Amino acid sequence: MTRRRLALVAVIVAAALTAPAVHAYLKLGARVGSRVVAVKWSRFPIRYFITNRDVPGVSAAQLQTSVARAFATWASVTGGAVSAEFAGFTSAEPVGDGVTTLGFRARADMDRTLGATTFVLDTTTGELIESDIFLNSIFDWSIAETGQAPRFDVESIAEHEIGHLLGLGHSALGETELAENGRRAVLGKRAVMFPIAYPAGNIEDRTPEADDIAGMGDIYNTTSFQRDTGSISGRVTLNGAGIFGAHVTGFNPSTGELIGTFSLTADGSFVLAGLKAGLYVVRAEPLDDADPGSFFDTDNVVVNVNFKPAYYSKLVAVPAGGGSGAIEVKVSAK
Amino acid sequence: MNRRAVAAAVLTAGFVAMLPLVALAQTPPAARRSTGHVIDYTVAVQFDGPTDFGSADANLLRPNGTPLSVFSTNSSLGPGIGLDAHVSFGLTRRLFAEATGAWGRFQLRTHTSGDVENADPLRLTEDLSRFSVEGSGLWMLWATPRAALFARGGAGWMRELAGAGTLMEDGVIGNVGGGVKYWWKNGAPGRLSRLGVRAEGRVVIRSNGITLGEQRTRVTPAASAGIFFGF
Repeated sequence: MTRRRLALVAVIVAAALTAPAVHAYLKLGARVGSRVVAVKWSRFPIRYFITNRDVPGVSAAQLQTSVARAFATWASVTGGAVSAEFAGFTSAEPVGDGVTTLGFRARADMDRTLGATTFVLDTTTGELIESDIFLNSIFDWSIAETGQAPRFDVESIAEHEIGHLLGLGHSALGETELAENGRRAVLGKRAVMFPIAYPAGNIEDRTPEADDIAGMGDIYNTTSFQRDTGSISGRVTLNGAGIFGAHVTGFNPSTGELIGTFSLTADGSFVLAGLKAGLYVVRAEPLDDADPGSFFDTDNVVVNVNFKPAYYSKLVAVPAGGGSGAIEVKVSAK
Repeated sequence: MNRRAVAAAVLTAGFVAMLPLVALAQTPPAARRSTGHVIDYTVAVQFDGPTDFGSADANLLRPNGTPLSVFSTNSSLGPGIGLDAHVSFGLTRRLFAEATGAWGRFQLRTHTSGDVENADPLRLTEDLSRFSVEGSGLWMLWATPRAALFARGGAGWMRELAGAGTLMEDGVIGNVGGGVKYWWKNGAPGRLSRLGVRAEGRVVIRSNGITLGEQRTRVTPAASAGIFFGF
């Protein structure tokens, strides 16, 4: 078995550069020969260990309880298609050692990173073998039921990282503003998988949104997901040429649900999957509310952010179990 | 029912009331219509009033839990036109059971506005077709040998289609209203013994089907006018 340890960003880039339109959501992918396959688990339950290290305000046992709840939340939104099992406490660090481990680590060099996820996968199949998560203990943490400012909520951040562990990339459903210190502050967001967390004390990210559920359903593609949801496919173009990296959202006025994806090829192709049957308003906007490097390897691809947001000119009908015809969202330069 | 719908309903009622009822008198309907076993067929053009689906915002959630609107939408189903076909079976002199099949074509409309990044507002549309099958009771309130005033109410099943037929939703449809029938021929010799015009106004209640709003039940005014005949 060929194993490789991959950093999250590198895996996203592999998908972004070569993923065909079937990659409906920004999910993790790995190159297998000439193909890119979705990175996912194929054996369940996922057995995981928790580091036996306490941090101020959170014991190892409390961390385990929060992590178990976060796993259970993802399991419930997939209808049980994914599952996890606590295997015990460990003194090992959450690093690639053949065992999936979650725990606290002090990473002063990553002073803007609350948590991170790494993977070991079978590069012949894309099957995940191990994934490790650390929550950065240079920050203050809490497991308080209703949140405890100025501490970050363990369950919320664990849920985001476990989303990665299960194969999800980042969502761009959020608006931010640049603070004086150069950091981005969240004005609003609608996805657990948005790369920037709510302020300390907030617990909104304990609850997956429609965007997160669509992404997870797309990866584990259960029968009910295929039967009950549909998709919109098309291109984002500027003067007839495709745009790479445009953020495309579908809004259903009757449910209020908002789901996003990206144009992932040079010709601007995108697929919005996991949509409930209904009529959608489709909008494309530049990826300007987070560092594009949170989504793509900007050393190797150019994300075009020099265009004005625009709507597709018609309502788009999405049937359950099917797709819309191809649409073209035409945008104009800023 | 919103203000526009009420106005349309009043107009419909006015239209019905202005049809030729001047000859109304307290005489029973003609013998051929009083046997209790009359079968009439009606083909009519149907006009449906608009439906306001209201507004909906594409919201993000601020850190304090309040919504941050990315953009707003305001949606409606425009007025539609279609065809009705009725088969009426006389149960008694005044009471008829009626089966109705109808088809109508409409336009779904959504206006976007208030974009957080100043995207130009836009009017988005999509065509919608509706097929329905209903069973109704039709009660003759007042009749002369030439004309009759009736009330009708019933319910049935509907199917709405959009996206060139790819999106399909079923629902329940009901109607309450009234109208007039005016006979050109009534009990005449020959194969076509009855021929006349029929017009009616009604309130249509729909539940489920394709929608752009949160409300599952909508009420709209409708009217139809056509010819009926019997053998």
